[in-house]
Amino acid sequence: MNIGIIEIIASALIKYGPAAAKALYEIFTKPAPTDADWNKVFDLAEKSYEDYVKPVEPAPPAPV
Amino acid sequence: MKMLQSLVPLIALMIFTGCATLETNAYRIIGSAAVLVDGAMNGWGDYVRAGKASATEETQVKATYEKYQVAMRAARAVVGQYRAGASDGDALNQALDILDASKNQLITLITALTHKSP
Repeated sequence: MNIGIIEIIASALIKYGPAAAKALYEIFTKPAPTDADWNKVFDLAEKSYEDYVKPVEPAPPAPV
Repeated sequence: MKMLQSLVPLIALMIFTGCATLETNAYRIIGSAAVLVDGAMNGWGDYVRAGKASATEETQVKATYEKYQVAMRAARAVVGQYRAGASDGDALNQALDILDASKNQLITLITALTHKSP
């Protein structure tokens, strides 16, 4: 893995957190993407703007 | 972050990844664009929910995001054609260029809006 890719993953870790960094690592280390891999990536881009900005529902109260 | 904003186009980075095929490189470019945009948009969502975004800024980000989605759908179509052998690498590289530009435009916009001086 070249230094440029390591920089991308490190920057994503700092800016967006471990989940994004892990996702990038998996993408860059995959030798040959399958149909499922492609669909997963394309489906991520189908999330609507409203889904990103909608109010977060409060967590249900913990059972007593 | 400046590092993300000033990234050498990902396509240039792919030159140094060795023997990966065009399809694998396209997957890396498209996949990283999707992950980075998702991260940026999640951050934007937090910013909006905190009441810090104006209506104008929301309109701007929404329009730029939808432009990115158009580029992604176009890339999806070209990738499908390429994998089926119905398209050559030139069309794929062109679609990747357009996607990369739209991704950078969106991330730059969100970064500028969320890091502006009060």
